[in-house]
Amino acid sequence: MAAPPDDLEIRPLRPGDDPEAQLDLAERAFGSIPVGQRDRQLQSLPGQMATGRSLGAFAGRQPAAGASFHDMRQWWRGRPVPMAGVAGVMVAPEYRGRGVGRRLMTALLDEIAARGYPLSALFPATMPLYRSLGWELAGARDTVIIPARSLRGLIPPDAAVSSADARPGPVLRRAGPGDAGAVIAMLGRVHEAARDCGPITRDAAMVAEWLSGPDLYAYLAGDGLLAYQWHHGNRDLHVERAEAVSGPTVRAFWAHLGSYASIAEKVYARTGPASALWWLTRERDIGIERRSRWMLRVVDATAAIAARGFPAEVSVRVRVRIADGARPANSGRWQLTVADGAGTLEPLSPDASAGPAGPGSSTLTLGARGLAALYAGTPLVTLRQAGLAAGGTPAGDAAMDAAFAATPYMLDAF
Amino acid sequence: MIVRPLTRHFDWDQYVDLTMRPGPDDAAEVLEVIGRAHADARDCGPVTFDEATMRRWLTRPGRYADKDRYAYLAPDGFLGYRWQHGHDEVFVERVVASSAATTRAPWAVAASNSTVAETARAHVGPSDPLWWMLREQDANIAERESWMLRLLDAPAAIAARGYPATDLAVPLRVTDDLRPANSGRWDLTVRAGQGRLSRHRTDPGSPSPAGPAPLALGARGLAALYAGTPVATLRRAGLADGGSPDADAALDGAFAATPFMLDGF
Repeated sequence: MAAPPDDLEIRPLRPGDDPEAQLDLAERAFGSIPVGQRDRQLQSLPGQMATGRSLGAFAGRQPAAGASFHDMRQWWRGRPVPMAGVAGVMVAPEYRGRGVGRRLMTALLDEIAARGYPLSALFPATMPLYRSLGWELAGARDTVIIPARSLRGLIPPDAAVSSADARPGPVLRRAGPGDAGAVIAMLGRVHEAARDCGPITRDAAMVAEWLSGPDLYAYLAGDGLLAYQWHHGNRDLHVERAEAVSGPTVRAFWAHLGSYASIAEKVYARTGPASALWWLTRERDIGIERRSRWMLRVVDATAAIAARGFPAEVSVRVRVRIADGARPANSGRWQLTVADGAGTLEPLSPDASAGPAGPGSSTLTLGARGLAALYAGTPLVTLRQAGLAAGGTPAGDAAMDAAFAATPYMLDAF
Repeated sequence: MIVRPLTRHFDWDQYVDLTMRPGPDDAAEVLEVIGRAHADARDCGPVTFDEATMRRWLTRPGRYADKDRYAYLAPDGFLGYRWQHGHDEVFVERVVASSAATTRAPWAVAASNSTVAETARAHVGPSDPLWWMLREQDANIAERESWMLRLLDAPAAIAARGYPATDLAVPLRVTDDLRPANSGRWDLTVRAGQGRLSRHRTDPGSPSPAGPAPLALGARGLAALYAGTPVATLRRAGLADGGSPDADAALDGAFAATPFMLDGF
């Protein structure tokens, strides 16, 4: 492998940097950008640069690589955890294979840690680079496909549990850019109520931009958010959000979409694996059209464990040894405790060691990748089989599985 | 799951002893190995058949179901696969393993066909380690079929399954017209990994039903809860009502599962 250029400089982008050169880099990495979108991006780039959340690698004055992160919240068992959503990782073709991307991502991870984010997530185009820095596969983002007609006759609530639900349907009001705060709060309410694992909310600026999209139809109900647009011309619909706290609102949202059946043939939708939609159609008409996978990085283990929710009835007291070369502050021996719905990670003094680490030891050993996958609810048996965990005890494994149990998902891509 | 292309991921050098070709007389051992793998993984959903069926399925040493299918057994793993679309694809119908080393072995065997086959297709669960073992995202969901569950005897079903080490007591009201023995007011308790459904006894001195409001479930809601569907989802789908937020969270902790099945029937 050729060495990185001698004069490679990695630094945050700043408003004086040439936005045209950044767009050129993006086009060389991801393909050409349509003209209208190009103008909008040129306008928004200086603002993005001012946040300091975009790093650039420069060879002389020429951008050789770039990477950014968004300020996000990720919900873990119903609690929001600050998360850096990494996006736009790109290396100019002539600098590929020379370690530039790795140096840039190392710097980006340092910057994310310096800003105090306990977690970082990303959608990988390739995995070895991110794995080498401690990200690991954690969850899915599904696009499902439903015949629009199937949404016309949803099955009613089970008569065994509902006294002929007389609650009126929700009132929907159109949501625009001025509703960004209300939309973020609403999504938070929904994810908290469902004790969701994985979905994210964005910052107000990003949500306002999303709501100002000329093609988006967004509606707020008293306890939910519905947002969709036409797809494939007017042949199909694409649902970005149909999320609500209560059954009547969930049902009203999907029925609303079903009312398009006179025009639209199919409804494409982002939903989670435990979305009520799966239980609402009369027949097995819902298919997974596409599944993307995202990776997670536990940047600050102590803060990440303290910030997420845990089942209140599960108690864990397990010794963990973490080896994290890229974030040495996470490394060492820890006492992981989960009790009354809260988790803590406390350092163990070196002499509190319960014997050597590794297979056969009663101390569970994890690298950064195993820690990320565990945090995301991957069963310990899977981690062991995949070579991401060693040591520990069967009783400890079972307790950890119960504490972290999750089927994480995301509705957004970035 | 479909893995495309098959070749370049499977450069593992760890081969274990996956050389035994099980026949009808090994039916009990094959069942034991598969059952142990599911027990070790605390799996939810997969099934095993009875020994007589397994004996018929393992037609002769190294073969199952019909002449084109190959079976291999290790002390803690089982592999069953066949060719598909001529020799373009390896179809892995069953792969289970308990240890990390054995987990890699069946895939190494299947992938040793990659000089001929272009893709591998496999029945796997959502937590199958293979998802975490590929260098790149070359595995995708090719097809997903949903299955339905019915609790015929609620107390027996609750008592028979495993639970995490969690502690809960939640009142339920089940309405099941087709199996009236399941209907009525119950107290669900889970303690030390053991579940119990007992008839709710009202205090004779109390004027109204005592204690917190029970979670109301029909037969369908009960089945979905048993399979790990979050209570928030059951409510939104119209399959649960009543109860309390604390009880919901406790039930989610006790039943949490991502159930799967490898067999079709």
